[in-house]
Amino acid sequence: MKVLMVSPFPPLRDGVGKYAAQEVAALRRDGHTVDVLAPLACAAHYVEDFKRPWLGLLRLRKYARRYDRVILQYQPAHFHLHAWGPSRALSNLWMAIAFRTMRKLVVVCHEVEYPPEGRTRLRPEAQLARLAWRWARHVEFHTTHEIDQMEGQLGVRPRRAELRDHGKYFSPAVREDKMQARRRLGLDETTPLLLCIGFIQPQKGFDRAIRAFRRVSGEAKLVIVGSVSAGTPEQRGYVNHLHDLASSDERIDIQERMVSDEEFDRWILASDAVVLPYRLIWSSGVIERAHLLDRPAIVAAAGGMPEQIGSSDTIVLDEDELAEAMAKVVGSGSPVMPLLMSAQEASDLVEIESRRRGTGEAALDRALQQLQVMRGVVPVIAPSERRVIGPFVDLVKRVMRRLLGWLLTPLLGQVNEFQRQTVEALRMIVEEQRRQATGSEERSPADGESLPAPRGEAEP
Amino acid sequence: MSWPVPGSLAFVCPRYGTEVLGGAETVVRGMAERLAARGLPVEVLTTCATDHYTWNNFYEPGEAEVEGVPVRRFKIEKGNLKRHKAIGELITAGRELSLAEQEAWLNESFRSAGLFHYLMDNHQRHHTIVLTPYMFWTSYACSQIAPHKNVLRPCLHDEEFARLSIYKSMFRDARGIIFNSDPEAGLAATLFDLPDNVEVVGEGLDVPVDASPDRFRQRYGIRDDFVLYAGRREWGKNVDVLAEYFSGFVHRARRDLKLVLIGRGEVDVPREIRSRVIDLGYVSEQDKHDAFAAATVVCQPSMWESFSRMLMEGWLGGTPALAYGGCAVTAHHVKASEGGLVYHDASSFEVALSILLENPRLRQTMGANGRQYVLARYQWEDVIDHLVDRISRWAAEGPVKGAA
Repeated sequence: MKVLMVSPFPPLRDGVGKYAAQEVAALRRDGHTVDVLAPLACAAHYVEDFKRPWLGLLRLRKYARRYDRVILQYQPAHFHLHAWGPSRALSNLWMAIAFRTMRKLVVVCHEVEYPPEGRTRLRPEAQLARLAWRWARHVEFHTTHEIDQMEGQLGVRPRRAELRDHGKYFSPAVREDKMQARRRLGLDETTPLLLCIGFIQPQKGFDRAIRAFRRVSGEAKLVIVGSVSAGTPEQRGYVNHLHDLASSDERIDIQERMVSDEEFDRWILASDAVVLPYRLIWSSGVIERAHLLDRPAIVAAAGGMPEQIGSSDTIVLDEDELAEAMAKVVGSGSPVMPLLMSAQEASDLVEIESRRRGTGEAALDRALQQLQVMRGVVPVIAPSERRVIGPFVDLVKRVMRRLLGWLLTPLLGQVNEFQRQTVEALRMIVEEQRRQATGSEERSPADGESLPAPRGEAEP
Repeated sequence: MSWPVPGSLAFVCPRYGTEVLGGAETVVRGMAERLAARGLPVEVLTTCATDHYTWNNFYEPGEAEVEGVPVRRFKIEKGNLKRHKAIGELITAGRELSLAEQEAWLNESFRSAGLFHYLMDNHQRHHTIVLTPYMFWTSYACSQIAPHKNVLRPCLHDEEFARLSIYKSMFRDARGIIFNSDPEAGLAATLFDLPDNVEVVGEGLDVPVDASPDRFRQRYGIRDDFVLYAGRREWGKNVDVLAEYFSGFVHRARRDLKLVLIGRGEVDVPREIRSRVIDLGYVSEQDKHDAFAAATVVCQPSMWESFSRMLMEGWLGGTPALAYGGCAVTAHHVKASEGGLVYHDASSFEVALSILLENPRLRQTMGANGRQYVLARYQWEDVIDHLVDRISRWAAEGPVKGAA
């Protein structure tokens, strides 16, 4: 059978790409001829930018004719320019026509973007998304949660919605036991090891793992291995935040780097448990690799994760349960410190931490750094940039802006001023605490560390 | 002769063939041909291109045999070259780029899906995959297929591209790395986490048996002393700087001295010395060896070399070298061999060239030192013995050691 795989592909460091590469290899082993069509430049036989406004995913048709089967690994970011808005309506329209007219198409659904709550579900892009998934002839999901969520959010269930085993095509990249893996990674052979692995992004919730692990006593190690994919200020800010959180506990090691498939599996083999504290996820390839390599996982109950867990995995609902599950892996009887969640308790924690370090200076510095991160990542609200979609849309936008400008501009100004004042107030509190901690009148904010201007903020 | 483990050794390189010019490419061909001549199974996986500026498909795709070596060629697909260039400029400007931008820079240059998929489906046939040079798409993409079989021959230079984070795992996860020189290995150690298996193997050279200075002078009608540069003329090779320094020197020294250039590419020659510059373009191997023997001084102005075959070929011709000291590799060779002098700027260039021109016995001694240096280290048979020993040992050890 001639198969066309539509997916990002290596050498891109992309989870869906790796997934597709393993499926391609498996299909070829079964005797099929497989070509790859990718939405961006990589080692695919064909490259087609499906995000272009004209025809979008309908461009797939000209390739599909030559194949007996077309497998589309669907992740919105690879096929649509925007998550929502007029351009998304257009690309959803092309997608709907493509899904309707291509009989040999199998869509493997890795993720779907749903409309925000409220009336926006009536907007054309939402209606067209609903139409596309209704018309899709054959869609495969990794969990029933994803099918249910589509039905709940879009009000549609593809006519042939099937489940596919996420790890069906996975094979181990290395064949080692735990001790061999640890030796090769230069790790201690006996210390219990908890592992977070994968791209470092806020939605992965690695910060939750750090906070929970800090409450687990005993000789153990938490290693976070992964890289930042896009390097946006938000992602950089998150990585800095992780380093900051981890700085007070020497047992936590953050290795910010890309790893090969072999090293990825080696880390899992070397671990005592893989921790997946995700906030937002559809389904996870990491948990499938943990199962493949026979390692237990501690899994946050997000997205379709509860369906993916195995008999040796532990599902957790919050950081308390996460800490308890970690403590169990580290060794029975490890005490878990009481949870500190209220403002007063959080404030107490700062004091305890400060005393532990001998001076309040270090903690305040970290708070100040966090403020800088905040100022770096919280954007100033402004009217959206002009994007030329078409002469008509552009004209409408300009007219609307003229009509509403007198109303919106002062409002946006007030919101931005509120945001600026909030950050400034927090900064002043931190400075005041610093002065109290050191007992001296130090440099004033004006002549000292000036915080970087937020993204997009104009100089006065 | 056979490898200690089943299978063949695959060389993966962006260009391969008798029409391909370039030091790194010449060495790969030399290695593959000599390994094949010893009866060791080898295969070359490459693209159809010969020219690293245009990356046009030149050869027919498919199987071929080049001087006894089985070669598989795959078509090249070009990406968005404008985007590639724009990101490349950010890299050379020292800007920190995201992973996505770095990947776009590589994937929007040239790529060869056929080569990647062939290796993906057939890597089981090879016990070792030699990837060279480090920077190109072929090496980066194919390094991900079976890292435990990778032996990287990076041909590394001290350049901004070497600082891209995408290359870190390629170095770290390789089964082994073979370097051309000690300074190259030293540079790699400062930029990357290296695996346990690293070895300076060097490059091999054919020792010319009948190089004739007179034949060269007669053939090209050159009677005066001359400084020789033989190699590509492109950014980083600094040939324009050589022409500028040479101009200053002849203006002040008022000597009948010529600058002879061999190789392809454009050079910006100052108007006042055009009559003194003899550009021979591409010449035969024999003429090149004759030129090295006939030259008064061989000048290597390049700032990026991982080995510098030109220096070695000059020394095999018994000619002293004048090399740019800002390149750690050439400076190392000159110092270790006592086969020439280094310069750092126009002033030191003029002083060093004067000393060499005014001291024929010093030139003779330095030329002989250089020749001895090359003969002791870089004869093909010795290099191949060394290479076979390392490849065999690493292959027999099995999967990579110390991958983290």
